[in-house]
Amino acid sequence: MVKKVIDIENVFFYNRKSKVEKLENKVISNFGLKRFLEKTSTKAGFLIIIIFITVALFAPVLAPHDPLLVDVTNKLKNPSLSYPFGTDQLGRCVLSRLIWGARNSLLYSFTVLFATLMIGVPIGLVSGYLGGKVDSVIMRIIDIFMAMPSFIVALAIAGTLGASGKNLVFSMSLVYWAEYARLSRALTMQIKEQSYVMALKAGGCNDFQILFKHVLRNIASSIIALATMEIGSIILSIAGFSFIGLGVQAPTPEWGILLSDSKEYIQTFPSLMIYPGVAIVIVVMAFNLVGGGIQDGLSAKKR
Amino acid sequence: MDSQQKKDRPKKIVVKNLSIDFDCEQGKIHAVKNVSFEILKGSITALVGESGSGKSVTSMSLMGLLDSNGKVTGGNVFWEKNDLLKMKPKKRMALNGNLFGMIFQDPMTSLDPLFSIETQMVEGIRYHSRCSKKEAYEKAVKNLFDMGFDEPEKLMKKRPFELSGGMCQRVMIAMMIALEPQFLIADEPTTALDVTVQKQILKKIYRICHEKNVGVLFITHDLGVVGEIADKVYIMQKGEIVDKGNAFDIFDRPNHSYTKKLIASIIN
Amino acid sequence: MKYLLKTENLKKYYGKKEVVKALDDVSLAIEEGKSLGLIGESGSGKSTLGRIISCLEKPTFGKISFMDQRIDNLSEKQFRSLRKDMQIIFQSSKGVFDPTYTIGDSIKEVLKNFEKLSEREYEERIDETLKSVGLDPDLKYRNVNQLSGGQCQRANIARALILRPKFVICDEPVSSLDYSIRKQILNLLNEIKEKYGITYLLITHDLSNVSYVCQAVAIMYKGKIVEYLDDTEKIGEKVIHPYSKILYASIPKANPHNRSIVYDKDNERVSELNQIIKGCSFWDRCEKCSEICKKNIPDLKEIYPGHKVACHLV
Repeated sequence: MVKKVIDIENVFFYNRKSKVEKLENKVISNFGLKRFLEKTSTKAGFLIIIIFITVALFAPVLAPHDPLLVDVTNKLKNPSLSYPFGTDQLGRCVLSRLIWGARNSLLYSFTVLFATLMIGVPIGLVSGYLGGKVDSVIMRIIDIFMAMPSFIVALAIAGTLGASGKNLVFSMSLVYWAEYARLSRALTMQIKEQSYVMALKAGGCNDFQILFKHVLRNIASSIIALATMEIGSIILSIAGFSFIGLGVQAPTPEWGILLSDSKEYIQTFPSLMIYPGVAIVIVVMAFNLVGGGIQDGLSAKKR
Repeated sequence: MDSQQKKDRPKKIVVKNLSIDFDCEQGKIHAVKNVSFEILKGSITALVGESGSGKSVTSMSLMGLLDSNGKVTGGNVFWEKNDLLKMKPKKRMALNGNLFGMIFQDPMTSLDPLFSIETQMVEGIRYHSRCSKKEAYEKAVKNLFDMGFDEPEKLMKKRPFELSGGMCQRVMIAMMIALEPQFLIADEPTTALDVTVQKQILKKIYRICHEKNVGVLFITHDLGVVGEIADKVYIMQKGEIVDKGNAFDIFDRPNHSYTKKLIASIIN
Repeated sequence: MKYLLKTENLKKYYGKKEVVKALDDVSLAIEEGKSLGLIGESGSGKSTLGRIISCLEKPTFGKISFMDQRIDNLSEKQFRSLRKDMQIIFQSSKGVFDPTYTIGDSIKEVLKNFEKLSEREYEERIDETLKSVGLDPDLKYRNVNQLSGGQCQRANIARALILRPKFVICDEPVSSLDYSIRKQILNLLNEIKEKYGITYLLITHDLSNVSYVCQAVAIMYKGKIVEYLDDTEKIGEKVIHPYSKILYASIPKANPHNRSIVYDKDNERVSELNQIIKGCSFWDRCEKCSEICKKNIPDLKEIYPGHKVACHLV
């Protein structure tokens, strides 16, 4: 049992630490960010993301049916005009469930991302800027959270507070913030040594001004790079947790739920499983393309 | 006797119409345009210019050390009827070690901090001339002593970061001289150093040049340094040589407006 | 006599186990309108002194007073109001401006910290200041990376100048600039000095800069002031301390007719590796060194009015 857990951990959450380390040495101006769109693959990724976000935003308008409307007489239908992707085992419209699923999946992922950024970045900034004892205490705390496997935390929280989308967001934010804290701390420490920070002090800027108006602006592009790389794996993990029943609960349309609902029909009606699977693959790939593009832009600037 | 006379004739490196382009995002940059000059053995040739004038690029191309996006688009570098630029890379690298020694602006970064001075010097000497470890060590000691170190044996146990910038630069020069190159390319060797140390280093370079009959290409932006040691001066601006002559002529009778501007900006 | 800035027995030690004395008993006084040049090589503590005076670092021991007010014990917050009168120009490199800000915004931020004006007044003030340092006001819309080295240093001066300070610390203002621009920047510093009535503390390793801008000069060696001169006309001939003499003789002569290297003996030896020295900090390099130099630390004595030297042999 334990072995299995570790395996899942490896599949879902590949090597988190190394990603942070890759970015830690890269304090780059926004200049690099502007150029990242030049590559075709990045453009394609960006386009896909925009399409999915639009779909998610306008789900109520775009979905042809109510995603929760059960109609057992109409179950497991092949695609038709009124049900373009067919219906599932309870007769619900698969397309509508996919569209609402995009809304839910992206919403939960962005919430996790937003929460981790909001917690991680300020902590990292302050820790890196103040240094000394404050820094070493915060760093130890960060180390503890970096060492926590998100799977175990999610399991524990689902066990104590109950399995739900909200609790999943909570447990994931609890683990993921540490990466941003670590990255922004490392970048802040580099920026702090720049002579313009001393020039700002001499110009009468207080610490708050320096940190949030200057340092933050200078490390923003590196953090955005990490965030875009991360969001793909967040989407994956949310779908994964929901799939095994630790996250969002059925019948809420969410890609992981869609997958887990249809797993019994994999031989008789495989398309039920293929649609959400493909959706997840495309979105994660798109985010990784953009993230990779940004990172390339950053390292090109460095050169 | 005949061969002796042959050796006494001043040998030189002749650079003819050298042009170098760099590929950048903004397109091609002509870093060096049609530059011609010569480096005589036993004298100091100064290449003067501001940052971005192409002086460092020129020296790098002599050694074949251009960055991958830089390309020599025309011209020749002659050494004893051989065109260095047309030689096969392997042959050229072999020749380089015996022909050129190079001193960089920042001595701290051109020495490897992981190894002691001894290891770096002995390895370097043995790489270029086949000799035993002991011979190489003795050679290193002698050269360090010549560079003004009283206790070279002690010094050789140290690592670069334990030394000051001036000491590192001395070690660097000693290392280069130990390889007995015919030419020394010094790229802003004193810019990062204090004035008092700068003077000592300049003295060393001057002495090496005249005592060991080494040709020096001295690259700098500082006219003061040029006035102190240079024999022949080439002034570069925006990739072109705009003025040349011996140091006295350049100072007394500058031809080009840029030279005049440089001389006018001397502070005293 | 009214002193703008005065330091008394200033000390700054770094490190806990192996103490490095960056500053050792530095007492200085700068009169209003009489700019002081502080000369020293790397490691002499001159930049540390600049940072301590501008309250970017705290001294280990000693007193600093600025405009008759003690400032060494002020907290950063309390000192902020005084920053208006005391500005610092850092060694020119592009690192002195935040690369994500335009030059105009960087300058405006400093101004906003001290003066509440309308948007238009801010812009006018910035334009005017940029013009006074010889820059096109349109450059304020550019980022640092789009400026040349000389322009960058002018913008740097503009930022220090915008608050109309009384006292400006210039830390190596020209040493990283191209040779032909140095004189222009020094000329600019001179112009501004007269126009706005500023007093400078010019920190440099180059003697020739000092006589160009300053009226007094102090020479530092290993954290101590070894010579102080009230007059910068022909300093080279007036200096007495052996170190000052070496320093002066080391300035490269641009005029090849004056070149000295050819005739100089080449007898410098480098032997000490981090040797701790008792007595005068310079005795190991001093040609005239005698027994007393190795034992006692010389005091800074006034030998002529306005001329102080720390040497046993004077």
